[in-house]
Amino acid sequence: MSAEAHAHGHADGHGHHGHGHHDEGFIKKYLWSTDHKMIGFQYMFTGMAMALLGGFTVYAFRMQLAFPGISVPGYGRVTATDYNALVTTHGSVMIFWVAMPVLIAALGNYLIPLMIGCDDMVFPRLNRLSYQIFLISAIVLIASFYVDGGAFGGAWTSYPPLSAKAEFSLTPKGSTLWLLAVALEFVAFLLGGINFVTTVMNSRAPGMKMFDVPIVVWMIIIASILFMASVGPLVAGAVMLLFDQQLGTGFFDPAKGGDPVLWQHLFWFFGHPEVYVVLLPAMGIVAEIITVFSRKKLFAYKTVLYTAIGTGVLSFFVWAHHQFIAGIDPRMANIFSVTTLLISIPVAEMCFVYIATLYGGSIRLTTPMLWALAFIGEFLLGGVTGIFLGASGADIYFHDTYFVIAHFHYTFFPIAFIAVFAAVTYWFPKMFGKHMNDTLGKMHFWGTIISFNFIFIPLFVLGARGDHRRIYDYRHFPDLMKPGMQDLRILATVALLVLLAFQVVFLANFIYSLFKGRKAEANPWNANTLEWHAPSPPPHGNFPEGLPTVHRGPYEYSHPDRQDDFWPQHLAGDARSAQS
Amino acid sequence: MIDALPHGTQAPLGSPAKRRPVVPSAVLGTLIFVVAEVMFFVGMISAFTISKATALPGSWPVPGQPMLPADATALNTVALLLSGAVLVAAHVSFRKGSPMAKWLVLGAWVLGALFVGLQGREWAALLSQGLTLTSSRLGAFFYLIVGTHAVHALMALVALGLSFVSLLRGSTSPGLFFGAQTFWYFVVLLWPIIYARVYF
Amino acid sequence: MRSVRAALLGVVAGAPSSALACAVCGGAQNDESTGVYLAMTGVLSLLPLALMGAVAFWLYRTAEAAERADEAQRVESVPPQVEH
Ligand code: HEM
Ligand SMILES: [Cu+2]
Repeated sequence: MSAEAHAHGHADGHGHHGHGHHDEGFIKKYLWSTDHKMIGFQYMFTGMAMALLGGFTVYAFRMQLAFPGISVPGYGRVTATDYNALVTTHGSVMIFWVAMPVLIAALGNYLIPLMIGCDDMVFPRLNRLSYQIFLISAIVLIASFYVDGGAFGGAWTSYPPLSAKAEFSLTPKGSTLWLLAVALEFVAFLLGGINFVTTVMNSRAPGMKMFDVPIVVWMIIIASILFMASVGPLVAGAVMLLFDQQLGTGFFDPAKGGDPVLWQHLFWFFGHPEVYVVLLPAMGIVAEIITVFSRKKLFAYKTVLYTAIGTGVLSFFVWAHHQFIAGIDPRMANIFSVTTLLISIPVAEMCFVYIATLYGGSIRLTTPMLWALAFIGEFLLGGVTGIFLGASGADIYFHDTYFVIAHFHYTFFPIAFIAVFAAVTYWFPKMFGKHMNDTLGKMHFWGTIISFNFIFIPLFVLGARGDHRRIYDYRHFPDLMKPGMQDLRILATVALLVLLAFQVVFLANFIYSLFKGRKAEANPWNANTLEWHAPSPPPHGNFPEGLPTVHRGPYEYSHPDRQDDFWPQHLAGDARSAQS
Repeated sequence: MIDALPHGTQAPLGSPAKRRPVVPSAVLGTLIFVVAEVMFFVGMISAFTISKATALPGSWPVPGQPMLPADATALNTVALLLSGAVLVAAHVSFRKGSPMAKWLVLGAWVLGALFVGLQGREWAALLSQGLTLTSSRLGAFFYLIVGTHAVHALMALVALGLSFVSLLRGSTSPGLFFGAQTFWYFVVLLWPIIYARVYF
Repeated sequence: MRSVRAALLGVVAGAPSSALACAVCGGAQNDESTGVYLAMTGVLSLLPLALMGAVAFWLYRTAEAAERADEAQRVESVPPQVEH
């Protein structure tokens, strides 16, 4: 393990040492690779497969809510226990096995070395290990469906005492497997995060100063740091919960002097920063795309960067807004209300900076640009509704209603899907050397965005009317079956079916373009960042013509001294005059 | 294993001179890991502190449960702190290129192993007096926190042992040694905090 | 900084006095546990920031020192390089 001698090299040795030839076997190339791009793809495709699982579960339980008691086509009758397991799996999968791996692990792995101009991660074998642990975690989660009692049904937040005791949860093995899967997943991302930060610190291309690093790389780094700084207490809580489940301790069991609210603190101490862990990379993706397609410099690079750091700092002070009615001290609730309202300021600021970037640009409405614009609009709605929830008085009413569900889907869906579709359509030519079909892309875009709003606006309305979440069959609650309420539920479910159907368009486009797409040149969008300097797709080692040297910031579009409206970072020339 | 070239085989033609890493990657990686670990322990310690403070009147110290042997553990603490100090000395002499370095590493290892051994003896005694994982909240938190620390100490001892072997073989690459050191200092410095919060 | 202080003041001024009917503020009357809760909240929130801040600061210092050392070396050994 030598570290000092390596700059662009690797500290933990190298999987492909001593291979003079490159026609390694299938396993070596696709499953056992240490190449950052391949690991990025592994994460991406695993994430996509898990998204299908997440989509299938939501299909089943939304059908039950809209048409209680029917036999759901493709699933069968949803029993109450099934319902719990389906909801829990949906939430956990979408957050831990879709948003995190795709946004951070897949894009981080794929983009970081390319965008900072080096040939691989600093610790390639650690990177491979990270993916393998992640894969095991996904397998453990899926396996929990097949054990006695079935998969865990205590919601993605896993509150004790429900989650701690098999008498309550009725899933003696499922709850432990769930916990184990989440813990493994955290280990995987911990390894990945260490790798990202170390790589960006030590392997940037010569000449790349702090403010020449593309925003998306910064965002992934800040997100990784946030993740690593906040995950510890949750892992501690998870170990304690595991002991409660399997060894009979009583950390969270009131009967044995334990405190169930303690878990909520440990969970949300991580849970809220986690929200920003996924938000920031999405914001970064949007920054890259809107600058390229409005041919303008990012309005305020440093502001975005500092705002992101500020958001990260603040995100450690807001967690108890999830517990306003959990019996915490109301004086403390007040403080957390204020901090929660404060944190919406930097988030809004970032959105406004992006809008200012668009202002006066020559905007090209390509598919990735449409996704990026939609992200800003839809996310703002999610953020604004967060303010209602952050006011502890209002939250007493809104807590645990569909208003909360609609709020966080207006934030999470833009993050985990809209921004990811933006990223995939934008970097697809680089990743696979082919263009995606634009007509299909736009069809997919409009189908998804419109149906998305038709799912969640009804849920806002339902929530405002007091519709409680986590209910299996509303027919037992006459107060929640007032005229029109069931219609709104049906509307949301129908819109969901439309949304799911449109994802077929995306998958078809993806697969078709992968094999039959128009061939892509190295820099199809005339972008500045280093990854577009590498061939499409980049070979092993990324830059066959030599690792690049950086001469300027990443967003020099439409520079007055230049004929082209873009100015790639690696081109030599009168360098830094245009730095702000 | 000094690769001058990024690929071990060929550097792409025309690659610019490389950036020198500001901090060895192994140290930086370990450091970030340590930050996450500190938060892990703080999660447990804060849970314990709150649990103790919110205990109903008369239920803490737990009736019928043995007190933790704070005095006897002072000796263990001293052994561990000494081991950290010896490792600092090892680092200094490694920097000077002195052959003493490896024997100092061995000394630190032995002191660390002594700590783990003494802790093991303490556990055996407590178990025989009826303090178990499920006997009370004190037992649960004690074995959770101290046990997790012990697991880390064992991991760090393995890393330190490996660096001793590599120093013995005259290895010139300090990555493992620096990484192991970072981790060991974490284990050493964490202990007094645990000692103060849990034993008293 | 001023605005931060003003905001903090707002938080303190806005803090409601204890509601004695409430089980949490009024019932338990266990000041020690409230204090401990607050203290642990503070530790848990501030510690990660302090740790990360310390690492970042140390890296920044080391990076600056390294850059200065490089610069000095370059001035001594080679004439300024022509960009390729
Ligand atoms: C602009 C800033 C935001 C504010 C002020 C805010 C505020 C809140 C509040 C107060 C709650 C608790 C509601 C309750 O349970 O009664 C909440 C729930 C939630 N928020 Fe946000 N939020 C914001 C942004 C986000 C973002 C960016 C995300 C996701 C990436 C997000 C995801 C969630 C989730 C997942 C929940 C519900 C968790 C659950 O109970 O299952 N929020 N938000
Ligand atoms: Cu939150």
